[in-house]
Parts: sequence; structure tokens; C-alpha cells
Amino acid sequence: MNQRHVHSPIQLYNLSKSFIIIFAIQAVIVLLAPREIIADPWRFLILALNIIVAMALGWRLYKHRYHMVFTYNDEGFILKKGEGEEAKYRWNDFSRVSLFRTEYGELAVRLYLNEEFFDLPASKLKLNPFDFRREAMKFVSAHRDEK
Amino acid sequence: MNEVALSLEEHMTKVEKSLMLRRGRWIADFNESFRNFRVRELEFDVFIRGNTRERGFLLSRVFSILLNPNYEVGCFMMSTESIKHFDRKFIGKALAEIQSYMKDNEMKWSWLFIFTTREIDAIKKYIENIRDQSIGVVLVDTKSRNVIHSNSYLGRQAKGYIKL
Repeated sequence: MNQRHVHSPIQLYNLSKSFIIIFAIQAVIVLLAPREIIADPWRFLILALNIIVAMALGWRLYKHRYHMVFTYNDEGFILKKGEGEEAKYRWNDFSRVSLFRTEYGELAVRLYLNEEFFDLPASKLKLNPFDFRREAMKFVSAHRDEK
Repeated sequence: MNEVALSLEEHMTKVEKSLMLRRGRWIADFNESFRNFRVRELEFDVFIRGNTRERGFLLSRVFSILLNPNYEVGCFMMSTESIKHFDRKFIGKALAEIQSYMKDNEMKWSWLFIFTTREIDAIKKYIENIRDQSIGVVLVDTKSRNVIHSNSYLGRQAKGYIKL
């Protein structure tokens, strides 16, 4: 059995952050603009335009920097964050599994490779951390038994 | 309303969640949990480690640095389901393994939660007489909803984590 699972939920926190970053940049530009440009009747039009641009560019920024796609099966997994490099591992690269709570209160499944480790951000991926830890343990121990 | 009886595993998961996400944070920042955690010859069903210093955001971090000691702590849990002979000798062995782990990892305090559905009268007195101040032992009989704890501050305190 080699069923492939894909998880790529929208992270509302990071999406809001991206929106606010773009909106704030535009707000600064508007504040620095000459008063005649931002006077009535343009004020609300500019605000509406800012919101539309913030939504469009915020979405692009979110997809570029924060959006995560996690793909796994019983052989291994791939975690891709934004447009950056993807982390690709096999379950048999790891020897131990734990559940780790970050200082922001998010839970991650921590996979140990001797003294080093790799964190799978279960909360951010909207996976049930306790159930996913159990599944990861099953995968890791299955490969450990094969060795 | 009918109450559904939880299995020992479900009880342990409930306490594990509670320690990591809710109630446990008042005593320590329990931030990493292991399952099937082996200490030499004994395998504990759950081991959660933490520190008495809360990490959190700026204010709670400053508050914690000023007021809390910087102790590594751990919480071990086991159910008696897979244990053949659950007696004083077994508990003594578990405590010895925990003490050796604490020594190796410079851990100051530990808790041991044992979940059982077996008859506990024979070991009740033994648990109550454990006076080790660095380990709090709690025996939870999920069938009779009886909670026994060791005679130490940590034992008395740990009893509060158990909500049956």
C-alpha cells in the first residue's frame, strides 16, 4: 500500500500578515503623497484600490513565502514552503518521533535523526498533531524493523 | 447522560494533552512528548519533558526569568495493561530507572503517573509512603476512580492534573 496524502491548507495568520504588509506599504505611500491627490472624492477610491491591491499582492506574497504543501506516503514525505526549496526525506532517515510545542503554542511532529531533528509543523498544516505523531511513529518504526 | 468509560490509553492521552496544552503550564513548560520511551530496561508509555521556566512572549518570559527556577523536569506515564507483575518491586524498579534518567539528564523534578484497572489495595500503602521529594508518584485506578499519591509536594500537586 502506498497511498499518497497531500495537505496544503490556507494559513489564515500568514495570509493576514501578507495582506497587512502590502496594505501598510501602500498606506505609507499614500501618507507621503501630496494632499490634493488624497483629497475627496479620491480618498475612498484610493482606499478601495489599496484594499484590492493588498488582497492581490498579499495572496502572491503568501503563496511565495508562506504557503506550505506537505505530501507524504508510507515511504517518505516532501514539505515545500512557499517558492523555496523543498525538504524531502524518507521515514527511514529518522530513528525517533516526538511531539513538540513551540513557544507560540503550535504543535509540531519532531523527527530525530540522531542528535539532529526535523520539525513537521502539524498545527500549521491543520493535521491533528496527536494522530499524526502516531502515524509518523508507525512509519518510522516500520522502516526501523525492516533494517 | 451515559458516561463512556475511557481506556487507559485514552486517559494517558488526556493527561498528556492537558500537560502540554493547558493545566501543566502552570507548573512547568512541558514542551516535548515522547511515546514508548525507553529508559534502560523499562519502557514508559509516555514521557513529557519541560522546564520550569515559561518561554512565552516578552512579559511572561521576563516574569518567569525573575521568579521561576531554571529546572529541567519530566513526566513519565505508564499503564499496567502490558505489565505482567504489577507490584512494589515493579514500582521500585520504575522509580530507580527514573532516578537514573534524572541524574543523566540533570533533571530536578519528575512525576510518575501509573494508570491501572487492577486491584491496588496491596500497593496503596507503598505509594503513599514514598517520600522521595524529587519524584511525585500518582496511581490512578480508572475503574474505581481512586487516585493515590506519594507523600511529597510533587505527589500532592500532581493529583490535581487528574480529572477522571
